[in-house]
Amino acid sequence: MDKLTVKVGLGSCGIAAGAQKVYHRLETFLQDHPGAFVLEKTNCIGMCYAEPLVHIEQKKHNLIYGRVTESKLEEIITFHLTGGKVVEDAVVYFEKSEAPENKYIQSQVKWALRNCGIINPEMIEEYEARGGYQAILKVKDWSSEQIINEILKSGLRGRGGGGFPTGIKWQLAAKQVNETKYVVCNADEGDPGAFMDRSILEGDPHGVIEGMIIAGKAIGATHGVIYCRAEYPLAIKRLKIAIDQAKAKNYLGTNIFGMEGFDFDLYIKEGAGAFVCGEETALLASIEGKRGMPNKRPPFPAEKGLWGFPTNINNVETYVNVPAIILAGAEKYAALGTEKAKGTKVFAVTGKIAKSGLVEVPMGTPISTVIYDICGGGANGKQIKAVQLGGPSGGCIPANLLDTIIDYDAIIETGAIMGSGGMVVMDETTCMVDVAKFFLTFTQSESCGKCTFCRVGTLRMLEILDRFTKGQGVIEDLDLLEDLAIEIKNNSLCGLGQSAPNPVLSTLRYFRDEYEAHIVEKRCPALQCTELIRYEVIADKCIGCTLCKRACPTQAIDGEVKKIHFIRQEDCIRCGACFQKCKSDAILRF
Amino acid sequence: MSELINIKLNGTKLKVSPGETILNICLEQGYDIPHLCHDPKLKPFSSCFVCVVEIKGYKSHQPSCSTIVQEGMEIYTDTPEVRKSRKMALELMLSNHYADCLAPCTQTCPAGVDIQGYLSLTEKGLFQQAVELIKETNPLPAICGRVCVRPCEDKCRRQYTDDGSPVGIDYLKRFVSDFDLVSESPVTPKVKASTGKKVAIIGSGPAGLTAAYYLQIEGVQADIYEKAEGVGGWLRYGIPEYRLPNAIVDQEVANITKLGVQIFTEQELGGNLQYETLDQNYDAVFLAIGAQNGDLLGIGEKNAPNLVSGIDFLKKNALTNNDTDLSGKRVVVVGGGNTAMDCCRSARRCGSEDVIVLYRRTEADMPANPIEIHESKLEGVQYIFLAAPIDVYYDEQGNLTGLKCIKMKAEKVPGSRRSNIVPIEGSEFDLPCDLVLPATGQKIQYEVLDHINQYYPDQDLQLNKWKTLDADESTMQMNIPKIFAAGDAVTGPTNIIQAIAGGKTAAQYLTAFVLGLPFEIPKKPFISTKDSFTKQTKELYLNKFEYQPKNEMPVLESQKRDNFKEVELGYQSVEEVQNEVARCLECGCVAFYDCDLQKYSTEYEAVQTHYKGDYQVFERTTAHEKLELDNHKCILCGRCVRVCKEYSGNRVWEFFKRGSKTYISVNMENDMSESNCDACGLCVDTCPTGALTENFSFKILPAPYEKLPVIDPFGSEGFEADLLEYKGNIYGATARTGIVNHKGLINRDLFFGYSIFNKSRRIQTPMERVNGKLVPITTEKAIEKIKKQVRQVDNAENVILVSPEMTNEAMYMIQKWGRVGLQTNSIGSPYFIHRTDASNINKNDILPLQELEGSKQIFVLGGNLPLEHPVISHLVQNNRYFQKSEVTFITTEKNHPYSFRTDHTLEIKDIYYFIKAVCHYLVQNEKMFGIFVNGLAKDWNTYRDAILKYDYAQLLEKAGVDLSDVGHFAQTVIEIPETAFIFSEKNTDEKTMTELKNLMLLTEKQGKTYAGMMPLKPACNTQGLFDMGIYPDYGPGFRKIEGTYLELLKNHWHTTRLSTQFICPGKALETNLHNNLFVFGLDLIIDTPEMTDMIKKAGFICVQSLFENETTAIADLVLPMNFAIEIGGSYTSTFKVAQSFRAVKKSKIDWNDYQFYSELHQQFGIQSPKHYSEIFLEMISLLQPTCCSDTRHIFTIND
Repeated sequence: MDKLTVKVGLGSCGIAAGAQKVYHRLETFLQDHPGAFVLEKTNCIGMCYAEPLVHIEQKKHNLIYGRVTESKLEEIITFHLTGGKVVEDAVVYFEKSEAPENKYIQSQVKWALRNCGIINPEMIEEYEARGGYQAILKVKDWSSEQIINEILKSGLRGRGGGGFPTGIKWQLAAKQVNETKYVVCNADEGDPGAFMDRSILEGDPHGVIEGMIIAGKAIGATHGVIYCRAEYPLAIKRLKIAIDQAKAKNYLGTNIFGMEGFDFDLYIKEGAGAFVCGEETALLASIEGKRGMPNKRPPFPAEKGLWGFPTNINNVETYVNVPAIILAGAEKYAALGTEKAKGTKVFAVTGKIAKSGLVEVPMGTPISTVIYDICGGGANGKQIKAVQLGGPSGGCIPANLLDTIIDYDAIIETGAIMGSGGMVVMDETTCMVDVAKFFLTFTQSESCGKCTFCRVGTLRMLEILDRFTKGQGVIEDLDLLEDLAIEIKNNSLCGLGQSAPNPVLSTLRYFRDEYEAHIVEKRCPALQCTELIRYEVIADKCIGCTLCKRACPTQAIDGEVKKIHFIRQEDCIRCGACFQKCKSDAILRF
Repeated sequence: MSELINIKLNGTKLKVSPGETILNICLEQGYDIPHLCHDPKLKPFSSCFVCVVEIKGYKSHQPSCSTIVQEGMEIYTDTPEVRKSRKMALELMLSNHYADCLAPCTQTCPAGVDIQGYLSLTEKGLFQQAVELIKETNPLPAICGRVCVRPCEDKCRRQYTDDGSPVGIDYLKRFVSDFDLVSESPVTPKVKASTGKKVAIIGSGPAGLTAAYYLQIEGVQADIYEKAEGVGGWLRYGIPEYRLPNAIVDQEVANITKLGVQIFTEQELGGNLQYETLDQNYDAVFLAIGAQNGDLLGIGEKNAPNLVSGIDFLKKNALTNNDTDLSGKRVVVVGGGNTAMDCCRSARRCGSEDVIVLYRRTEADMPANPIEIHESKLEGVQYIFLAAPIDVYYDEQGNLTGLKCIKMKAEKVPGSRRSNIVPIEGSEFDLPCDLVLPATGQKIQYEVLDHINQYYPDQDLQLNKWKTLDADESTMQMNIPKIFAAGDAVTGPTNIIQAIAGGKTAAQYLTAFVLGLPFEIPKKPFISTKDSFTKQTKELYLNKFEYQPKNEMPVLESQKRDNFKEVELGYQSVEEVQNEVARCLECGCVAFYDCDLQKYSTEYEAVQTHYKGDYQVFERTTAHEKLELDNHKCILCGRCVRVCKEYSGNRVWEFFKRGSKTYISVNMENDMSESNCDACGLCVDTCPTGALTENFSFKILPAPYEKLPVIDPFGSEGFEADLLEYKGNIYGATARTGIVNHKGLINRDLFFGYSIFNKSRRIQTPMERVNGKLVPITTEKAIEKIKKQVRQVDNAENVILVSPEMTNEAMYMIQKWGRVGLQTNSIGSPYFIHRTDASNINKNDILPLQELEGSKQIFVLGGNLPLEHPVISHLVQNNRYFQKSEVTFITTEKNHPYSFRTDHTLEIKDIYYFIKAVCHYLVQNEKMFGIFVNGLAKDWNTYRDAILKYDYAQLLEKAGVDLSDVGHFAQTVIEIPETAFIFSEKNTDEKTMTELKNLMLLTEKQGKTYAGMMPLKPACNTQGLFDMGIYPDYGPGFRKIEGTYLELLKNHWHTTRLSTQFICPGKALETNLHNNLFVFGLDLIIDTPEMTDMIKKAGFICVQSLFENETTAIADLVLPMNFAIEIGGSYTSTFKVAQSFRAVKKSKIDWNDYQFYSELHQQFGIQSPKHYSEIFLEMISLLQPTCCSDTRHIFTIND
């Protein structure tokens, strides 16, 4: 029997799905059967739809079991770990087979996620075993210019959403003459449905640290700060472990890596979860202990950043790419992607999708490839209506435009933005007015309250949307809504305000008919807006079983046994209880 | 200086300095860009977005307040898009501005009387000022105070509190008006010079009288033609005397004719007066003819002598001097309005025991004032509700014998407040009666119009659909341009206040018309109101205010009302008035006249309800003793948050929550009292709306204040400020940016302490003590008394003490009088106690104020800077905030609150020994600045030897510091050239100051840029004491009185004799037994208690003082005194900047200090000028540049 290693994915997603229990069970099993296999921890590999995941590494069977419930685990223990037989129906990935499930992983090109779900993030040795801390050694004798040139050559652009060329950003900071400079990592991932950065921090913290050290060397900074939201406790824990390990090896501190005069130290600042703190000027204010409120640029952080010193800010995914680019060479990275967008991009695909999880694909890949080929299309076979990109700042791309390639400019043309990588899939059961309302509710409550338009204007927009979903809208509201949207975009200090109306504008652009249906016909085509739904009994189908009558909380249904029932609309509160109870499909929802 | 860059501003090419914001450039260039969150002294913030501009090539609008100009920028400040954005920004802010600009009462008054304003003045006891304010919009307050229908009170929110009744606005108006009417000099407006234009007014009712009043004020001759014998129209003939005595009408009319208005009675247009005459003699005609024809029942009735319209009945009764006799008769009054009330109550008074009011609706529907209904019932009037006459019975003579009536019922009309009234079939009943008075409506007398129309062959006066005159709504002009009209003739029968409003408007445009000026209809001011958000109801106010019962109007007992004596008696005491006015909830905003949000909202015609939606309601206001925050008015511009951070260093305010829930509160959401706020007032001063205000100790008075420029009379820094004046009183102070006050800061003592200027009980006249009591005497007598006293003692027994708060001019005059007139040199100020020779240091070597900005290290020595010298404390904090300079506080107190605003605190035992130890350390270790001390400084060797004699350990012990503290301190002082030392002279003795100076010499801080000492003097003109020679042996210019200077003085002062005996006042008081002590402007007993015993020994004490105090209580002679702002003069700041200021406020007393000093000089045979500007000239002729001896580089040896 060849050597058997069992790894359990213990990222936040795995833990939430019960991976901890799986790990404990395997531990106890191992106590009883010492040496049966090597048990290891790893992080999420990205197949979130199939958590908990158990990786089996064996020469013969390199595979991943997914959706490992307690009973399934017992099967795996009995048949595979003891008996050496693969439990076929639990396999979600089998390296050597042609299983259709494999596509999910095999279609991906992993740069940023190269170590995630592979290594144990709490062991620096495992990172080093996969080329970790080699990139910094490679650039040991490089000049600042050389490093920056390499990054420039790679074409890497800010992965946080802005897409600003990383090399140019570094150049700007490097140019500043100042003894004190800072490198800041923006780990304040806040878009609803986005978890790329969390996975990277949990799965490959050293990758981020190494990226920051290289940035520090490139711009001449001696201190780095990772601004991480406190809602990511596991990421913070692993970062702390990683920093301690790096310090112990003198990868952080003074004269690091034996480089005389190269000092670089790293701190973690926990953010309290204000979405706006992902905006770089607000982020800096927050690190300084002030209220997270954006400031006008210029001056840019590269000139006057943290505490007034030149500061380079990149996000997690940007930094983690850096060591990989250095090691592989910029050309290799730049070979991927389109003319203006190089390399790969990680997406967190969620919503009404068959397989939700993390996907890293080369730039230039059509969105449809991600949605249909990798993630298997709509959940429950339903038709996809749109894909929302870029979170609350982004917009919706309708199904007929899903061949749009992943490229900053191409996406902007559709009215959405690349964003940090949140990809929310919507199908026919999604109400687009409700989607706009959802995102606007988020931005409204996350606005820092500074600028008038963002503070009050978004509230007024939200109120209008709310009226629409309740059937109280009038057609003039649509003009008011657009007017507000345009002015808010036009009159806000930071990205949050400037992009807050995007979800409304892009849904208006592609789904105006849905809005009009809400306003004019007082109807929600997706049947999501409670107050616009009506229920009626289909006389032909009603068998008079009284189930619906008994279920109705407001006694709005009249009818006797074996007679056709009738819903009194004036008393109906549209809760849908009758619809769910009816066994004869005799309730019409419209 | 970097090179200028090129920009294009609204198409004009400009060269501007780089680094400037667009807003600053625009303001400089005269483009009035609106801005709310911008304050030039604060770091740009950009939150309000009303200052946005368009920049070519930029995707979105940019806030101009924080956008720095770049080469080649093309900026547009006034495009339609920009204006649209600004307007939306304002409207969005307003949609969450649940607050009132004006009180609902003021907003409701048709004549726009500033009700909250006059209530506020009434509260302050300024009754005549209240009348003055009322008369700006209503010339008949005593009349209105009795009979106005008071729509204001309907809106008064006091009725929603637990008490349930509105503030007695009308009662209060009546009180102040009556007070004014009987006063010696009733309020009389200033009448402008005659324009030579004339207007004829037809009718002397309220509209006619009002128009006449305002026309006459504008210099337009107003002639009123009245048909009747008496003046007043309905005021006299419609309203019975028990409500409005004719005497009151006569008095108010007299106040109008006093201005030059002429009233010609018994002149009937179309009768004995021809329109042609008017047309020929007048530039315009104003028709205020009223609606004089009363309606009858309208059911086809015949004429009957006992069927009289209500108003005819009232008029006839008035004409016969209330002589109608109705005893034994049943009177039926038909109708439910105020005329019906007047009729029924008059009928009772005319002897009828059986008066019935017949009204077709319910009592609740009656339009009459509820008080009238209440009173009528008290007087025995009967009511039949829900019934209407349908026929009339007559006897053979044609007299009416009764009415046939029918009962009615109310039917609810959905969506309408009033119900529909329908007859109940078969419910007819008969109502026999002797007199029927229908009071249901009035019409114009069209005969007058016919008469005028005859004159114009081509056109007729236009009528509207209600058959009243169709005058233009805004101007009251008729279709015949020369004719204007207002009052009931236009509106139909309404009420007096409407007529007054119309008369006032007509007067305004009549004036423009006769002068040939264009009609300017003003932009409607933006008014925020809570009603835009939700109807104000009882539920919103209940139990939120202290219970204060209404002060009921005293009335004539109902048994005594068988006559036409006035029923309402008016408030009888000031106490009642004060209690009633205290019930006012002060709904209007104090910042109304000063609010930028309101100003821009008017300019951009913003509509509050455009973006109606959810809004924030705050249950509590954050307040402490001095200031108050009303979050409803906050626009979250953050100016308070920032000013507190950038200048006070306190961080009292902070933003809370996010999104639309964001609000400002006290940091950490503590209670205000738990915050470390020391009430510097900067946040209140910078607030662009009325959100942050002073926590007034009086009823707020929103008024169009006049700004009076002054030099801070409370601080020694010479900061410019403005006092806010209204009708002779000061209601606030605000910062004024100036040469000294270049940031625009204000001293808290002035900001919150201005009320002293309004204090009553000033000393009015000179007073002498007779039998232990002060009795007024004339100025001549007072001077005589002084002369007599002076003759009785030796020259040296005259002692003069002067307050450091007097002007230079006053000081100069006083010392000159002393030296020349009294031949004494015992002149001084208690300020000098314990610091006689310290003046040597104070004269020179002061770090100039403006250089503080460049200091990189600041030491604050002792005291409590934020309280003693707030503006300096602000500048220190600002420097710390922006320049990141290090501030160290050296104190002898443990846990001093100021410690928390500095970077380091050194708690020691003694500052003098600490400094001394540092000097010792420097000399001992030869760390002093050698070249300088060896080469340039005087007495260096002596000093070195002296300091080294000290035992270092002992110095440390006495200073209460460690060796390392001293070393560290010395090191940082040496290392950082830009080091400043700030201290208050009040807390610092002479030795400490001189030793500090030694330290300056040792470390070369003296006279270096951004470095050196900043000693701060306590009072506004302490420096003046030195400069003006309030000093025994130093004269004006601080020159020692000896040699050539002595001769110069003699020469200047035209005297041959000046005493050269120099005794300091303290010594004189101690040694002499029969002193004459002259005290100018000081309360010695309070200010310097240690002197109390000494001064009490004086034989004669003369005190000049503003108010009576403990020193005047022991004085033999008391003289009045002016505030400097009443007489003008100059102060010299602690930085030796002399600043002149003019007299800005009229003195409340009949007295002028300079005139008095001049008179005093004359009486003592001294030649002196009278006016402060001349005194100033004489004074500066003695201040020569060479006068200051150079003490710069001398070491002082302290024991």
